[in-house]
Amino acid sequence: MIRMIAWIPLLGRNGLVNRGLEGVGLINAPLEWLLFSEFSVVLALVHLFTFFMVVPIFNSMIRIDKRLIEAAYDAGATGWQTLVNIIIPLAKPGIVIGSIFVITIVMGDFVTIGVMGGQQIASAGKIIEARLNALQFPAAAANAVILLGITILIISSLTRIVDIRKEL
Amino acid sequence: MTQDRKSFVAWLQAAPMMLIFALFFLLPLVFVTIVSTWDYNEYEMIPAFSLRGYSDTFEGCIAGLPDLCTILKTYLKTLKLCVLTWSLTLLIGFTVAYFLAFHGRSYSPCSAPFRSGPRM
Repeated sequence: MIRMIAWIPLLGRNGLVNRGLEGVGLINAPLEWLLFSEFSVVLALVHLFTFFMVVPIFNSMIRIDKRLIEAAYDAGATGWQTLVNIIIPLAKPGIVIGSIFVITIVMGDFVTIGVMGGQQIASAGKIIEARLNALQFPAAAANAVILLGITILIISSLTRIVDIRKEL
Repeated sequence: MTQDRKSFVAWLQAAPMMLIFALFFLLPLVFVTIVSTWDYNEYEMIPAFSLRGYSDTFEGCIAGLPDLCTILKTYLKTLKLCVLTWSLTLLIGFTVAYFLAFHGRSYSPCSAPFRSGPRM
């Protein structure tokens, strides 16, 4: 919550970024798309949830046997070839688990999108909240079931591509 | 110890977590699904089967199909935000994890709990 609100004074019309750019002389009028736009929403979401991606990927990377990388180096692989052929396939379970975290959180999130979008950007979570505030519980539940179905569809297709159970 | 007994003990060990999971996660989801098929009017829900919750959500969406209705636009917007955030976190997360794993201090306290297997 605080990490999200902290962006507002930074990106606002008289915020640090706009003042700084005006001071340097790059722009004459403050940039309007910095705050309460898709840009600020994505920026805040990335800032909040990168951590959930780093930890699982780091976890699976630290388990990679360093001898494999040495062997690839000895066999004459370039750095890029090592990355594509050894590190990415072995870090796949971590990538998928991190993706599941991020996708489920972002699909259900309405607070971040509401605050950083200035309540101007609609999201699936916002629909449910609006229905709940109107005391239309069955409609809210129907939307929740639809959202759950979409999220499960995305995640099951992800796990179809990479079988986590087998690779862990 | 026989095989049967072993698997029984394994189930017993997993039981508390399974119970909590069923009680606080699966049961509410079942309730939500049930309530989503109830009927409602302006001020109360009516415990009778009806798909009004779903049909009201997509009211007029099929009729005006070439133009997307608000609900579909909202879902597409959410998906777009999701894809953008996912690709950016993946890019940044992978890079950060790479440098932490292969170029970080090898005995930093942060990485200690993740270490396993042979060390170089």
